[in-house]
Amino acid sequence: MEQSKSEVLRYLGFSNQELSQELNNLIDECMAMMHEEVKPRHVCRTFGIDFKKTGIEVIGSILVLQGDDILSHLAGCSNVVLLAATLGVTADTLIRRYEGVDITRALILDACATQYIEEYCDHVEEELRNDATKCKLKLTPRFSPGYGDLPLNIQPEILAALDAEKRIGLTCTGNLILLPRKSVTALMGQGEHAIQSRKNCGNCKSCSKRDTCSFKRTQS
Amino acid sequence: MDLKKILNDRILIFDGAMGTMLQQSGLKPGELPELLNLENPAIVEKIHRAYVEAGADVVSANTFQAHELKLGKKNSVEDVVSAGIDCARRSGATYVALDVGPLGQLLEPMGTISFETAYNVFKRQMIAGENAGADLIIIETVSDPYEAKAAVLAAKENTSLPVICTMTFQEDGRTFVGCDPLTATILLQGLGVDALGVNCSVGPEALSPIVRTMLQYAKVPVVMQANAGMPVIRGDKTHYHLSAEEYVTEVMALVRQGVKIVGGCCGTTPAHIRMLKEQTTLLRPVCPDSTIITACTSGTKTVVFDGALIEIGERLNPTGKKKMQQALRDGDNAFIIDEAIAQTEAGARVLDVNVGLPDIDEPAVLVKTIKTVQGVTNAPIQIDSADPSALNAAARIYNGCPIINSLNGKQDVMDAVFPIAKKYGALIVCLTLDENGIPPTANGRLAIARRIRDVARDYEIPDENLLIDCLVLTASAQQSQVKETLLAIRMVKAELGLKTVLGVSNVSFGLPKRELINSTFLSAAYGAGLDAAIINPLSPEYRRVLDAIRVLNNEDKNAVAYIEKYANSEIDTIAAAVSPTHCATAKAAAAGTATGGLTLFEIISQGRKDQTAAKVEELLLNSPPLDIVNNEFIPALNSVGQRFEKGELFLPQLMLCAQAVQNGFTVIKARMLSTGEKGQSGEKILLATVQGDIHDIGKNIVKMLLENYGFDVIDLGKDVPIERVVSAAKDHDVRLIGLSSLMTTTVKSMKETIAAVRDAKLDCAFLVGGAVLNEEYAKFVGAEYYAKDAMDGVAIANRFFNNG
Repeated sequence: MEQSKSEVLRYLGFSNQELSQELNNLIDECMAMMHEEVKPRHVCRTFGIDFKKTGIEVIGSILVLQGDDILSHLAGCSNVVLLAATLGVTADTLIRRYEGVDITRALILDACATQYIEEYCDHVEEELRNDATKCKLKLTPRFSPGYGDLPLNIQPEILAALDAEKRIGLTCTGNLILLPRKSVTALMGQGEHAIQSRKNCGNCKSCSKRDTCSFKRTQS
Repeated sequence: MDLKKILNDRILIFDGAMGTMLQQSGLKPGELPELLNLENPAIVEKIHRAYVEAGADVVSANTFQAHELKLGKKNSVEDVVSAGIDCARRSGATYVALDVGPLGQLLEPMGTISFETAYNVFKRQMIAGENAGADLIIIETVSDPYEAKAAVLAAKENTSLPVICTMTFQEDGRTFVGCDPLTATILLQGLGVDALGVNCSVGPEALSPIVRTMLQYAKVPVVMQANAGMPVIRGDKTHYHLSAEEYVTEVMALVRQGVKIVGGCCGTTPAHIRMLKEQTTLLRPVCPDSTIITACTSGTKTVVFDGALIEIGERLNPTGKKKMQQALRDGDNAFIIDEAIAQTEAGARVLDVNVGLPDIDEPAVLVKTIKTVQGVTNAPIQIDSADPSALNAAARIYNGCPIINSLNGKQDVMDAVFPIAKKYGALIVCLTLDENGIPPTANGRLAIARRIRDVARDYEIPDENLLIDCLVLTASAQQSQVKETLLAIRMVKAELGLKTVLGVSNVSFGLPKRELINSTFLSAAYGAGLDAAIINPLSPEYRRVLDAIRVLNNEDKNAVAYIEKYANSEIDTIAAAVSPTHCATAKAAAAGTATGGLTLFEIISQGRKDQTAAKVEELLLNSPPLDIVNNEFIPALNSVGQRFEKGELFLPQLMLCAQAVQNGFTVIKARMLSTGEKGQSGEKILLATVQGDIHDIGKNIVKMLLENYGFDVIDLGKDVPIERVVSAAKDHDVRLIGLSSLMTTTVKSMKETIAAVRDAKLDCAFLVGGAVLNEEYAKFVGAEYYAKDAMDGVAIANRFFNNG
């Protein structure tokens, strides 16, 4: 089964149950609908970083990154690339519309949207990595607010640093929920000695919910 | 400031960018430029002065984000705004504009800010601006027309300053929320702005298709403040590549087509403005003719009355519809949403919404219903009520320019409704009746139409916004008058040039085979020139006639849709007038073959949700409804639930089974409603996603499963204020409350909600769930029960009520 569909199934809590033809078709239909109607957007920007006692200062912005996990993630890096991406309000509207009339379809669309934004971010990350390689630099995997001990409260500052509201219509509520809902903010370290391996992130083994999560990846 | 007078003589020049200029002077992205008004006003004044010296007539004060949502607690709106206006004033500008940007938060239903909250935030900023001495208000960079509406109303209702509003569009010609230039133009001028247009995002040439559409349909001056090109990020700097010459060349092309107000947005500098001033100094503004159209809009779509027969769906009306009455009384959104979507999918382009019941708070219910419908469909809405206060409340919160249904020839009714239509840019259905009733002749109806038009002109409502309803009486009671309606339509169109609309179904009241009379009359009315028909889009007879009309009317080009639909189908010949039993048997017989003889247990277990209804109809021939619930639904659900817990089914499969039961319940409930049988009312459970959290799909799944098991679920929705949970718990006298939250940041709300209910001394237990929760968090918030998934929630509810 192709990668994106198996990811959608993972978000639906699939663990090798028997899939009827109708359900299979419904999932395919929802994936197609999501890709047809939704246009993902992103904005990214590279900043220099300064490792200070108070945290990692993102030069030229008001952002200061705190915590041990981001420190080890950005070890060896001279820059950080900030990324914000969103599927836009269309994805939310589509899901909300079906919540009223066909909740199963809404659930599947929700999973498709989650998969789509992640796939889109993977794609953008790969482009950024290729650009970095051309400059003989390495790029770490993405690391988002909320991973490990990187606090969520830097969301508004990341958005402001990227002018994300104006550029891609991405906002953040007072409770730090990104809206539109299917959105991602992430940081990637860039530098000659940046650690490119996924050993410590984007990986279920390093997540704090690994013991209770029902959406774990079965392979590492 | 007399904007109109100024624009008669010259092009008005606004200043260029402030934000990008400040960033070049060292402002970091993320820092609020507005605070410089207080911390370093000299630097702000310097930039303003540079623009004044370059020739700008109007300086936009540094107040773009000067509202309470961005300023927070540290600085008051009034201080920042008045400091900003002062800086601008000191620069020597001829005119100072209060610059108002978007709130930075999404409005409902996409986000958590209500229309009313947005209005109040803008209101405060606007009043501060006028008090500080601003000459005009410019609302800019708005992506959401709903937000634009809140801002424009706030400006017009609380100040007497001229109001300009410009929206921001992406390269695909739409805003981030999908609004197109035509819809933006209709809405903004409907609300009475003094000028409208576009700013930001891209350079002038990329904006030209958008500007041209606005120029074509705008009845007020058009504004453009483009970026100095598309922003390109290199490393950590953002570049705007258009030089002053390139920028101005592109802008002038559009000035020559009729743009009257120009300036610059991100990336522009005093050099850009200087050149703009030089090239426009001796120019007299071009005044293109505006194309007059009759149009209503939603937030993202415009429906133009331009020759096609517009279908207005009539089904959202409680008159004679028990199910809808029940849905309105219960606050059952699902029913409303279902009807709305079914009608639009069947072909309705506009939806009539009426909630007129004697025992409800009509304005409040109408507002709630319209917010629900506009959240799921982009079809414009026709707001239908006899109560002007309901019309006003609904038109106010409506996202777009609605149709108001209706007013008539009585002076007091016109005086009550015309101002509402004027304020909100609505089209109006005008009934040709007055104090003397409905005139028996076409001439009589024409006279009333003429009178209504004259009064509309006194209210400065343009002719094209009137939809004349010549009224159709029932053929069975006033047969000779049916022809008068058709004649009246012809006369209204020929002699007054006004659009016409008609509620067709009335004509057949009391006669058999109503659909035949209705659809024939519809064809006749179309022949007389009817522009819009209020009908039931789900009626097969209407559908056939409309499909044919679309061919005859040259709408369905080359009859492509018609041929695709009818080339291979057989006309359905089941007689319309049959007894209910006969109908059920026929359906059951048909269903029997379709289901291949599966039992209800099997249908539910296999999640065949489209087959339950027919099977339940079949079983109802021999069993009472409650037996089916207890002996069929519950065992099937239990079996499905166990298989889910064991991992034999995953969530979508569980839900298909639950939907199957839900569809069965719809049939059961309809049967019990018609026989007046009362079921045992289930135990009540209150559900809510807590304040500040907008994730509710999990909660909705739990709701569906609980209802399957016969619980009476009161769903308060999402982002539910704490007080509302407390008052609902009191009013409904519930013993179990389910709360959901998805984020660590909203777990706090959960704790506060539970504390508030405990403080109110209510005897309630709490069941909590959501992705962020676990046993530990459940204890932290003070809940008795933690549900790890939807089925667990059901099991807990069952145990709770069985153990007392």
